[in-house]
Amino acid sequence: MKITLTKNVTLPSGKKLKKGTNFGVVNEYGLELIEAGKAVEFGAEAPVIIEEQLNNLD
Amino acid sequence: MATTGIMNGTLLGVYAGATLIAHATEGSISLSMDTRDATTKDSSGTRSLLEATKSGTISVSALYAEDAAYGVDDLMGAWSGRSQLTVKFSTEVSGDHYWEASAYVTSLEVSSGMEDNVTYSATFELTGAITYSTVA
Repeated sequence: MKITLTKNVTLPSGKKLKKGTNFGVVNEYGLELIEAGKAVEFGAEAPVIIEEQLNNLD
Repeated sequence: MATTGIMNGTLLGVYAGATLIAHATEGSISLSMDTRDATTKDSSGTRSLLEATKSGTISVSALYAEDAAYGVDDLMGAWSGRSQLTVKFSTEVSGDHYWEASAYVTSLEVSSGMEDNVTYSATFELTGAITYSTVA
């Protein structure tokens, strides 16, 4: 599956990828990242509302 | 649902670890089995064979990009570290077949033609069991 990172991620290989990177992964790892809130499926909208709410927490 | 009809080659990708090798233009798997010559004087002049070692390679060709999620930089790491990695040749479409095995990077070639894309190709020599199954 193709995903878009919503957070900076360190791959199991140790490689660091920046937020916004689009790349293909095996389904299992893609779902793991999505469930951890670190990625969304490519083309899906990132959960920006939550991020905006967190930024406005004063 | 599994892919139907004659498959478009674009769907099948080579994954190293969990990551798709980026900007690929070609991918292939080659499986073979050695044989033992069991020909004797009793074989009536025809060769007799018995089974021996099974083996395989997965190869990929791709366009070079410094910022690829998985590219030459990662392959160089696996090659220079002589490290074993998992490679998978798959569409990652549920129900489709895939091949997966542990492997070593045994060949890596980068080419740069004048006014042309920088390209590279890599070969993974498979070691141990080769899984042939369907994507969950």
